[in-house]
Amino acid sequence: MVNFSFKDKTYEVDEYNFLLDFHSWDEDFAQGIATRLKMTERLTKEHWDVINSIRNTFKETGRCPIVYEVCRMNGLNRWELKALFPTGYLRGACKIAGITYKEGYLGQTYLPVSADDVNIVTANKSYQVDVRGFLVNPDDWDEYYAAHRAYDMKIPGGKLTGKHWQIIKFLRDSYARNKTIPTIYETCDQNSIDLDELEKLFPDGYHRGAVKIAGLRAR
Amino acid sequence: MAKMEKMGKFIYKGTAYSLDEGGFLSDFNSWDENFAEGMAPEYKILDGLTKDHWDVIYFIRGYINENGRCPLVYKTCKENKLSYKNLKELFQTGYLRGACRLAGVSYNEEYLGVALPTLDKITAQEVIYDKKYVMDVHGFLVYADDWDENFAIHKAYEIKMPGSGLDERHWQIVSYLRRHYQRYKTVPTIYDACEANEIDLDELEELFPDGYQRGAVKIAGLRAM
Repeated sequence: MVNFSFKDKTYEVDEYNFLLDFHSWDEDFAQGIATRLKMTERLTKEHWDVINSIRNTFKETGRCPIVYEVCRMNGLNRWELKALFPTGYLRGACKIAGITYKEGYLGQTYLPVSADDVNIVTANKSYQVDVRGFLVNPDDWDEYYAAHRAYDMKIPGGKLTGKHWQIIKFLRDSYARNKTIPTIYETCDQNSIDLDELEKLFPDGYHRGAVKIAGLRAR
Repeated sequence: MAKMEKMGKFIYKGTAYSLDEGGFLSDFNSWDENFAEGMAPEYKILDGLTKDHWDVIYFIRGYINENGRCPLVYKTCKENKLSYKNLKELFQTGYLRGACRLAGVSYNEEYLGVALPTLDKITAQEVIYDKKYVMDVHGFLVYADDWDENFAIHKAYEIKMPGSGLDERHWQIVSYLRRHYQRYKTVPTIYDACEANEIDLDELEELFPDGYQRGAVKIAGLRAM
């Protein structure tokens, strides 16, 4: 953890000068980081429009908007964005706006547990996967892993619901007990769920969806 | 009569079938009905395969011949009008671990394989199934050097990129990012990427709708931070 100071104020940032806590952002931070990024003039209305659209989208959706969305919202093409934020979208606009897609990926509601420490927990953790994206060692698994895989795989609704977690937990518990993955029949029986419902939850399949997100693989 | 040997061979009625380490038929095309018949007892089907079994087996094989990929259990059940309880009666050891195995599905190719368009087949290196890739919780590769084309192809598939896999325009961007990284050890800005590839944001969005960092850079096995 590093401190970034500007105008007698101190902000906690990561090693790349990204603000650690979205809520500790203020306009002075934005101006201070902009100066650090060699944007020597004061931030203009055009800058603030972009910054505010990033922050507002994040507040509303819990997700850092994609560069395309921000350009559309502000009627900017890439040359105009470049003129405003020459160091990049993520490494310029988002950084100044006090967020990154790292924390912006998933709001707290995506997790079954408090996500207060999600950035700290996940900042340095890594996971070994095979070429298909299956976790190699089931013990590496955690809820953050599941939530992010589900998001990456574009699970309907973009997040794991209580139903998803029920299935995932069942798979994890069965595996921990028996060292095998239950068949789809057992999973349906034990969770009183039919194939239609399972498909809605995990449209990528049983092994290729549910089992994968649970950090297991069939062999 | 039927015999499983240690070397990963299954012999039945005078024919030897080669199996992979998980007991799946190694080559989808070496399948025949005798294989299914001989293997059935291994999967607790003791009274022989019935028409209902064959319907499922042939459905799976037909689907793979058409699509290059094993149908999801949902699809197989729907098309054969089976509930999971019906399927369980037919293949009690499981779908993947019963029906698919009897249908001669190979685990790595048809089951988990990505149906690759021609260009990907040309571009792709041989898949090394034992290879491990270290990624962070967001799915970004931790070590840029772990990257290979297969990683890119599968990642694109996993994140449901539109279209049928990476085409030459995707590869152009991905190769550019890799080259740039190897040369400068940094990820170029989106501006540099657009300029160097003479591509506009609209087109980049079409290619990588998940974003520049979260789409293109991720598939290229890099991360900006």
